Amino acid sequence: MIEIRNLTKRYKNHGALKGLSLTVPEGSAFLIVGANGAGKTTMIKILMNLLEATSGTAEIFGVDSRRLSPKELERIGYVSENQELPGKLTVEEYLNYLRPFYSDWDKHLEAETLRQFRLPRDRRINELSHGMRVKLALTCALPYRPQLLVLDEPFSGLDPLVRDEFMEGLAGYAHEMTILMSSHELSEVEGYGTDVAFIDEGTLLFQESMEELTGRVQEVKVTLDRTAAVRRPPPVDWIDVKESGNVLTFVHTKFIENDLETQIRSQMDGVQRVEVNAMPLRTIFTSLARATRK
Amino acid sequence: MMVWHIFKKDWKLMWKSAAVVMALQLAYAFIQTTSEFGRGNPVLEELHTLLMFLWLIAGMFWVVMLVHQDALPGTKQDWLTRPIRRMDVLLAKVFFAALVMQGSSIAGDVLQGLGDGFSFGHTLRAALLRAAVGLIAITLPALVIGTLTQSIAEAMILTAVLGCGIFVFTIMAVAAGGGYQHQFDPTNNSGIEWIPNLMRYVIVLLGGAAVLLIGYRRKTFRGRVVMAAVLLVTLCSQATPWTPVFALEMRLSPRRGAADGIDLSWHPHTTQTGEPVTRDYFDAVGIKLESPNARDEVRLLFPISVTGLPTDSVLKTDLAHVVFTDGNGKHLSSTDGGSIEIRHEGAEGGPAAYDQAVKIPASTYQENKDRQVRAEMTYSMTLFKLRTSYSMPAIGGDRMMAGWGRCESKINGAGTAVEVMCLQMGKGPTCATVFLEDTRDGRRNRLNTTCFQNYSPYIDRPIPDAVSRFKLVLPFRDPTGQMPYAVDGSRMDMAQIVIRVYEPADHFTRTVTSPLVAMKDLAVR
Repeated sequence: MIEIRNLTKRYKNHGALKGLSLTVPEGSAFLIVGANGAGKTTMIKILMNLLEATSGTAEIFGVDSRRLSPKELERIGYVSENQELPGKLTVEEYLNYLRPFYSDWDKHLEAETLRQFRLPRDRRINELSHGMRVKLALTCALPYRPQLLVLDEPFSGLDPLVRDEFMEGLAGYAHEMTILMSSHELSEVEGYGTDVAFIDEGTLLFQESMEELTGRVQEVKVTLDRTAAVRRPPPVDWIDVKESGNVLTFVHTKFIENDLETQIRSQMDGVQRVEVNAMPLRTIFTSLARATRK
Repeated sequence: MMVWHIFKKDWKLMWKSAAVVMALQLAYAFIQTTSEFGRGNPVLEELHTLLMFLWLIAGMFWVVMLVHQDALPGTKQDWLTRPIRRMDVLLAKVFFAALVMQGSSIAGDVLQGLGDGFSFGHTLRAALLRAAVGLIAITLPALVIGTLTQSIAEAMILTAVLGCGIFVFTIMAVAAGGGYQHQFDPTNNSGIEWIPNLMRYVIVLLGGAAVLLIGYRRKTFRGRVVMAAVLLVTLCSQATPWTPVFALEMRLSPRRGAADGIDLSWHPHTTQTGEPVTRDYFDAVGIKLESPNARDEVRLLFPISVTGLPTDSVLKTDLAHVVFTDGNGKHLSSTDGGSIEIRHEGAEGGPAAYDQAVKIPASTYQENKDRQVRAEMTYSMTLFKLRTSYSMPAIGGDRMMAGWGRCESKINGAGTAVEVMCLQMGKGPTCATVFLEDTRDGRRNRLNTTCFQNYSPYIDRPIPDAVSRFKLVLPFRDPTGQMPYAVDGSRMDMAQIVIRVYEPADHFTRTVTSPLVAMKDLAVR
């Protein structure tokens, strides 16, 4: 669905993207996560042909994003936190304006989304709150049932209630499309994605399915009968290693349940108990990001 | 289909401001129409200039804002992610901008033309031509600026940068020409100026269209570079040399070959008149002098004979270029010669011998006054042929003359001359001889030749309107009593103004070479 190869974007003094490569499989709900300034929005804007890459390619539906024509754009929905909509038009007028550009606009779906989001048809767009505007942007992106929905930091500045409404509005149609969603606030998107890519300082740390990631990255807590001291250096798969009294904790980045005990015993003696805990996405990201920066 | 759809969206957003822009033009037209022939209230006459200025500024702002409704630079615009063809957007913007700017200018011109008594067809043709010029000179640049910017502030900065660039270029070009605009822009203020102007309009049209297409591909930087290049080419086009432009004008002559029989030659008998040369002398021989009292210049007189001038014709110089060489052919100096105007109207004028006055710097004269010099004068000239004649009462006359325009006559405030104020839709007439005549006995006052040397086939200015205004002054009383008039104040009630309209027939060049002669022998004593 989306293929990004060696994407580079340089501004005057810094590189926003440094040879980023990424593949978004069809039918996935793909999360792009990374800190502010990691390059998520730059990547998406290049993908939507809003920005020009310095080098590399980005393809949607097999078409170079620089050559996206109305034919492809009719199959893509785009919602961004800072999207500029024509503020002087009312909600109704803007929907009336957009409708003829799409051959497959579903007016019932439009009406249903409007109702669900409680958007006032006769209100001018520049009189809407930020949250209402984001919901309008989604309302304008759903009725033509796009094959790809691109959401760039859609929750930025939204209160939890609006965010939940937004996701509920989206949930009914998510199975019909591929979703690419970027966010720096991981707790907001956790649970929505099937795949995830971590971007840090313009480079891809890794990309994999959510199931694989949460399976392979686990927090391990080892209780010893003596003061904890791991051999130096610790195994490369162990990150965030912390020793406190007789307790050793670390994040295992290649966790395999059957091999764990053997691996731990090869590193230390006096193991009394081993606990393995699943980690929230946010903690996985921060641990991996910290380890990479080291 | 989608062009219309986009236009309707823009209309919904901008119809009120569009109406204001159109109203400014119509208000200008209304006030101008009611104040033609000096009938207007002085306050209103000031107001209409202000209204035209406001229309121009507000109109250009409005066009920029129209384009900014769907701005191209930037990365946040929703429309860029929609299946909206950019060409449809461009066409919708051009259509709406032209509707408001050129629509209002056409409506204003038609209002004025009909109000001034011109026919609808004549008025509409002039209005459409002015609208075409305005589309290129006003609307298109505003569209370009709108396309390459995303906010009014940015547009103003870009406009200021362009304005500074034009100013600096002009200063440098004039300085390079020794401080004279004419050196850099040889056709400036001449009858053939319309050709470089037309060339500039074509450059702006093609260049502007190219920038719009580049801009709508969202190549803003490239668009700005191309725009700067187009501007530079347009400015440099002012330096188009005289010779090729006049050669083109010659090819466009309405009656090519009509001047073939005209010959100019060196005729030494007329130089040494033996009389002190005064301004009256030059007036008497039909030579118009510019700044006759200039002390840093010396006037030389060249005795020229003109033969073969057809009857009912006027011969005028468009440019006279004089080159001085010594006996060995070494270049000493070159300068522009003065203007020559010879008429052959019925029994008046005809084959002529006259002294052409040429001014050279005093320093050049001092260096060369004792030298034997040869002068080569190259003339670019136009032969005008009589087309038609009109007459109208000297007092209270009001007449529509198809080939001239609509005129009203009255005696001026001082009671010394008849003033004839005229209007013409589109380009005004080029040349005429006019005089006061007593209808009872055919007495005439001295004939005046009035020429507005502009050979353009159309009115080539975008503002203020499509009406040409011109004024004739026919004196009949000299307050000092020194100049007698055959048709004086006592005959005004039975006097008529005769206007003999001349049109360009042939444009041609002639070269006259003098024998070797001491420069001091040519100088005015």
